[in-house]
Amino acid sequence: MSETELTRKASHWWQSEDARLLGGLWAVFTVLGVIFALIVPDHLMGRSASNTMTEVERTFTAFSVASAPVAAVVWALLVYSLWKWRRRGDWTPDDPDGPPLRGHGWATGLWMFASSALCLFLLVWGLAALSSVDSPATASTPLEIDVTGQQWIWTFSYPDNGGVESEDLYLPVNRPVVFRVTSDDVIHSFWVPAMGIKVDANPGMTTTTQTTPDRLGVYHVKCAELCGLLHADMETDAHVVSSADFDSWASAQGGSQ
Amino acid sequence: MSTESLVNKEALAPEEPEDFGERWRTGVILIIVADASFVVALSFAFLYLRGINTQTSFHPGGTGVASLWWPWIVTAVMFASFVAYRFGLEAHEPGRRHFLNAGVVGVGGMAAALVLNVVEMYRFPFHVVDNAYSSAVWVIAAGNVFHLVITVFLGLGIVIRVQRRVTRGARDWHVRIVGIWYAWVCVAALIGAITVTVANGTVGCPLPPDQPDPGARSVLASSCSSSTR
Amino acid sequence: MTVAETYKTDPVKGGPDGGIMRRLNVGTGIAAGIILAFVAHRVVGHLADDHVHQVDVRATATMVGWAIGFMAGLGAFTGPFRWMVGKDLTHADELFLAGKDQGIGRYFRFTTDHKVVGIQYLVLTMVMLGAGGTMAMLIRTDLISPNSGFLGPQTYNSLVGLHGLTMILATIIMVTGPFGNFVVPLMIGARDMAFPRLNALSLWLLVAMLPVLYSAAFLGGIPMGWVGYTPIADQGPAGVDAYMVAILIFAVSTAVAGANITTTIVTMRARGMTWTRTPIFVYGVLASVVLALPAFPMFMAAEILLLVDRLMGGGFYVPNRGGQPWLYQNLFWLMGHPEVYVILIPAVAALMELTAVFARKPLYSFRVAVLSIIAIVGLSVTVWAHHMFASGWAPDLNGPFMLTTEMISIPTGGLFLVILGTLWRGRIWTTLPLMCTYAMLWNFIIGGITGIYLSDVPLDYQLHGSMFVTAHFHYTLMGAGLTGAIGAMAYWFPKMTGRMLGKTSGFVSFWLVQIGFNVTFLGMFMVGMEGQPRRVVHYDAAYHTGNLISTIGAYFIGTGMLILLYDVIASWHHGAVAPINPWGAKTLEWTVPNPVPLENFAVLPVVTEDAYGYGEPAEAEPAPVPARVGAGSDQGEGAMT
Repeated sequence: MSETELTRKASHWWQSEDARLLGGLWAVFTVLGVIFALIVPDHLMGRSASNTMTEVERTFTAFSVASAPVAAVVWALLVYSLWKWRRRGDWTPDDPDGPPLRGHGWATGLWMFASSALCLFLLVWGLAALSSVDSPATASTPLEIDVTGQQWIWTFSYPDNGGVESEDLYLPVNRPVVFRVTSDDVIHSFWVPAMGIKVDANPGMTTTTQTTPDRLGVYHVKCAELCGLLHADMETDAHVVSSADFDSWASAQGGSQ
Repeated sequence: MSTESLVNKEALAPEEPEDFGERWRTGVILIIVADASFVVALSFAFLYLRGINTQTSFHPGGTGVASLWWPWIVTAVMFASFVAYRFGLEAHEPGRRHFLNAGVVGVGGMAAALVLNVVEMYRFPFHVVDNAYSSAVWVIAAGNVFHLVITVFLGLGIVIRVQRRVTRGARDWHVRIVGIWYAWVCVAALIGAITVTVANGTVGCPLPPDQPDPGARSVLASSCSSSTR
Repeated sequence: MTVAETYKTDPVKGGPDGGIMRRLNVGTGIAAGIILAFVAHRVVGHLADDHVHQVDVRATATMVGWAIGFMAGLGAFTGPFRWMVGKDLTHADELFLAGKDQGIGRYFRFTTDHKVVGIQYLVLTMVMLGAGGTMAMLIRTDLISPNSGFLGPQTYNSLVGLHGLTMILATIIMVTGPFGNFVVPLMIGARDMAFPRLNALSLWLLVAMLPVLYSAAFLGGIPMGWVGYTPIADQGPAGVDAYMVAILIFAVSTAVAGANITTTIVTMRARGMTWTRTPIFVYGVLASVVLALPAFPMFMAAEILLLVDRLMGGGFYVPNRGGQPWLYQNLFWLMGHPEVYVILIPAVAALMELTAVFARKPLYSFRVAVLSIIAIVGLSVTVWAHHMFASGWAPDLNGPFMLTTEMISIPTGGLFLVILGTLWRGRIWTTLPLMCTYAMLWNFIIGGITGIYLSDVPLDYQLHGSMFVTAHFHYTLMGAGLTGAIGAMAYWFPKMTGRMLGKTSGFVSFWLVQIGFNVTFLGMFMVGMEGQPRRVVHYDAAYHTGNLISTIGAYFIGTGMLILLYDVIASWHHGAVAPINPWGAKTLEWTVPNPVPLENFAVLPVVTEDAYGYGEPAEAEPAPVPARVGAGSDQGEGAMT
């Protein structure tokens, strides 16, 4: 939707030259923006390895597509104003002023309505995504894993498997998992980028996050909160393996299935 | 007069003191807004820590509980000082002597409150390092000391200025604005006292009989359950 | 004695002129500061000899001693003490303090003239931006390749934290400091600020703060980011004490400046300047300081509690003693979110002001502009916990905070509407100030949209703590905020210095900075989405491309800013002499001669209409008209709205 003032030339605002050119420019920028939105975020964020990350990528794309017309309005107006109304040289006091438009028209109301509607859309989408991420409906009982951060390593322990401890994270594919995260010293942040989950590791408290990994592979586990000297080194690997492989790994570590 | 003589001086007519007074009063109220935010932050800190009771260590049993008499006594003395000061201000016949006496009583009372506050802190049955509760009570008391130091400075200034006839009347705007500050520090002390009192209901447990706890308020045994520790 | 007489104060009797006050300047301040720091160091070192936290106690005492000594040596306390003993400053003293007949020396002492303080703030801001910018160049140089080894982790982490804090402090003051001080009293038709001595105090406190802040580099650095989260801040060396004392000094300066500016704008506008005729820049500055007044004491409280923990072993943030790091985060972000609007609103308001001038049109929808600013101020105190979505502190509150955060996009969009509407069908003169408006709109739409992503909780779980966040806030604070400040400086330069800013260098610098800026931070969005965390001294090879792009962009920014610095200094020194109103603007500051006289206006103006009457038929006189005030006219009521 373009934003115009009542003009003196055309009897209807959509007939004015300004409106048409601007509308065209807006349409072009919107199309470019939507194409960008559909391709670039997914490409950068990589292939999703969990249902959570799928939701994250979908939300990112949806918000980008929704933002494209908004950004396009601003860009179109910027470009058009410079092309159409720019004066050359230096201003002198003899130059006439522009039209005294103070903005008491309907454009303001339209703008506010549109931005409120967009905000409402974002909110509804966001709340829906939040509830599916924070409180997912899971068919099977989730696997519980205790995550402990300390300067500067991650330790994972598996109470469901007899207390196996490991510095690498092993996960069975397609099984919901709940991470109970804490810290032994300062605040760290447990982050698996490919799975779209992150929660701070706080000393003296336990926080939780959950997801269902749905793709085999090896992914990074990183620390996302500056925790001292070797914060940049506080990384390990998350191995998503088949259930059978997970059980054999757990036994090999000395735990139970 | 201070720098106001340079400010907004019309070509021929000097500015009315009421305009200065309005300006100074606005400024002091704004400073008080900032200070109030700080006081609220301290109160919030205390109540939040008590609410979340990390590792049930906000105030584990066996350590001292601050006596509740002290903060209320200090607050009462401060309020009395403010009333004395205000009594001087509000005197119908703004005779200098009348105000001077009330002003002296006012600043004297605040000085007494300062002494009482420091004594209170000496008599805390804990150290600031013991736990979050003791740190928070200590900081709230220390904040009040800081307020009182500033108050005594301002009160002394007013008394000296009235004595030296630099500030003329009891309704001079310097006097009124210091009165606003007096009122504020009383409110701040009240907020501190309420915070500590409200929170005290569930902290602390009777110490074992072989550890007498001078100054500690004894807590009803029925209000102490192991789950609140 | 009549009632009216009781309201009169006596003229000063007690105080003699001058004396020690006239010999004090920044040199005596530094000397006194060093002496008191040394004394505090020895005395406290002796008293705290066996203390567990001896190093921190001594460091803190030294820094506080420096600050108090510096201010005393500068003469900041003469006023209050002379008040207390009843020997007020004389009129001659006040004129001296205002810098009358002192030439350039008045910039080096405790001068109260708002124009002097404004220039001092400008220089201070440029110094801080230069220091922070240099640190940024070092950081980006280290990140040019995945494991460059250019900086060790301790140095890198400290640089990141000091860069962050320097830039935050610099951007907070960069518009309200120089232009809030120099321009606003002129713009509202006043002779000075409400509290001129407090004005000087707020500036010199910042000067006192700088050595304290940078002493952190010699005290072991700071191991945490600029936010200073506990418990890592508890762990850090004495550099953390420097960080805390610097913040305490800054908080006092801001509170004082906030009270000063608010009182000035509320009580000292010219006669006839009702709120509907008050320029939008004044609203922007007012909103910023009104927001800062309750917000910064929260920061101060967070740091004082940390000070108690570090120096006295308190338990505020130590979990096994009932303390809670989330307390710090809450107190911090209660300040931290309003603070970004403290930075942003004056910059955008300055751009709104100058856009009307260079589009030769009234400001579009002035009411929307004011209401949007008020709405942003109101909403900004309800959103703070969106910085803590991933902290786990209160998962049930994530939804409500998402709601309030997304709602801020509506009034922010209102500001866009105002600027775009002002440009619409205008006669657009693409001067450097107006180009900054264009750059701001471009940058802020990106910054704002990426903020929407971060306000969505599931997205924030993924993006928090990554370089995406870094790129977002640089787009808003630097792309919109700093760009706005540069525009403001280019716009008001002729009035503040009496010279025109060199055009060619200005444009070269503009394009280098803006193109470099976008390259730098688009590269950061890229690596953030790919999974690079923040504040890391080295990173996975997979993120090399994005980082290389960012570093190259950063060098463009650095070059551009150096050219701008050169332009400012060269133009100040020998630029073209500026006419009184080179831009044909209609606000009051453009009616006074260059250089602006000490008392600003020979006769205080009376305002009859707002400052946006472009294109409107001038009937009697264009507004505002300095009133011809006769000798016998009644001005006694001093009626201000």
